[in-house]
Amino acid sequence: MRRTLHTAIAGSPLGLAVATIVVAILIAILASTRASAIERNFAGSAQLDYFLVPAEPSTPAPRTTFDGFTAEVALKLAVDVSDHLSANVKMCHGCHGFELPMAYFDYRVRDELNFRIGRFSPSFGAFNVRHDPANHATSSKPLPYDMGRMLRMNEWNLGVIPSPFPDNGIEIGGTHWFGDRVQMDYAAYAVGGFKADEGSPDIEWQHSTSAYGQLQDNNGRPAGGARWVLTLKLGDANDLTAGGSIMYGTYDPANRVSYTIAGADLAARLGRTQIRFEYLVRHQTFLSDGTMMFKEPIAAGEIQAFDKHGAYLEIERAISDAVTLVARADGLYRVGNEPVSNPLPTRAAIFRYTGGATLAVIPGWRVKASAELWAFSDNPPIHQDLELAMHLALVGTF
Amino acid sequence: MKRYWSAMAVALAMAIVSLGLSGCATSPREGLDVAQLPEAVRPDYALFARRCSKCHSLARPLGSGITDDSVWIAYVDRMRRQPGSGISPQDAGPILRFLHYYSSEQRRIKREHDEANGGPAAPAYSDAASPPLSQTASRAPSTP
Repeated sequence: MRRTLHTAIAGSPLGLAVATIVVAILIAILASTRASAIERNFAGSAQLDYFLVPAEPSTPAPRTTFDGFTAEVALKLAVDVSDHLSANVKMCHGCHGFELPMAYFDYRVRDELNFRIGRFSPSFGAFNVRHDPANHATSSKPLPYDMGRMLRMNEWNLGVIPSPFPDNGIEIGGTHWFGDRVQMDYAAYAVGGFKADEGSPDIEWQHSTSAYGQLQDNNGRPAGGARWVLTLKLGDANDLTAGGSIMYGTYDPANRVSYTIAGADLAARLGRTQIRFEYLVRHQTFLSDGTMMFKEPIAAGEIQAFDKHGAYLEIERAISDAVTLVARADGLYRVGNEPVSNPLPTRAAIFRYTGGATLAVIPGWRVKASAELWAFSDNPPIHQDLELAMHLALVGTF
Repeated sequence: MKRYWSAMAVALAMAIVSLGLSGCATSPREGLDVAQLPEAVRPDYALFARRCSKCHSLARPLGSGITDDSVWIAYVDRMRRQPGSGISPQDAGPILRFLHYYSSEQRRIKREHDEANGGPAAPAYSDAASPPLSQTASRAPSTP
């Protein structure tokens, strides 16, 4: 029998603790709110991208290629109710239709202690804070964070973790400065977690989207995670940031199979140059219910695992106030059993090399152009297939 | 092949439109022209530009339309608390000082435009016909 998140919370000691915290926060909100203090900030972004993949689909079994126009529009309202309480609501429309990636309250006791409650992207990885198309120089996201723009997406079922990955829950975090040079950030959270139907060999991202209409947890057991970030200011124009993230949860209704996602990131800002590196890995178990054939025989009821690794290195350089150049190398590597229906072998890799530029055309609006060389391998590190792809986009903010 | 050429045509059309838009702008740039800023404001702007372009373009704050100091204070405070922002509590003062100056200019330009034309004006950040910011340097307050 399925248990929803709220029924699970209500019936456990953890649930009682969470409920107590929520009530305490609401009391604090009511005590601290003055109507005259409310400040509102409305912002948004829009990107129209054309993804061109010149090669015709191969036959007789064409692999998935998603090219064409994509429009992503986001509108965000941030409301500062008081010095301690703020609310954020963001609506966006993209590949998954209308989505509600943000609908949460932040209650800040002090910089070092903030409670976030509602629907939000849990703190994981460095790219997540730049996931909005207006906040990164390329049209595409790094492969570890891809959520539907990659070639052969169906075979790979996304990257390591989609970005953003809004979920419902609570996050406790904060930031602390040691003097004027060292910043430390930390967060820990409990959210619904990724989901899939019984017998699915992988997580099913659509189950987490607003369009799917299933915004409750499918197994009543929250997923948990944490992130830690350290930033060092090296002079006035340089800084170095290092971070680590971890997440664990079960994704099937019966809580028999799980995922563990870990990530490490390092970023340096050296004047007008930004260098970013991230490595992510997802270790995931899956269960054969006997109805699906796998490439490596698996008995009904047996649990196996696969690992999906992803990484990117990106260098971004503003060569003038109007032009920014970007170069990126990223990739995915998957090892583990697969259903026979998937053309992906049990060991496979993608490498992608991207060169691009952005040009400010009018204030607030930029043209993004990039070319991508994709190299696919069914026997890494040897490349079997190469494909060229190009992006041309217009992106704006307000 | 047909698919390829139709896609190329669309891409070319987008490039032409982009260049056309580029030609319409007097000085397309992500931020402000430092040479147009008064000397006293430049260090604060430089800090603002460094800190506030780490995660997003400067167009975000400059094009936000915010002209109220109390909103800026909350805005900068929220950005300062972003993980890895690199915006220290000590940085907030100079950044807010610049934003106060910038907001004052936005309000002044709008007021003068309204008085001259009897209608609403676009903010200076998106109005190439607006007078240079440096012409009103002496009116810029020092602190918010």
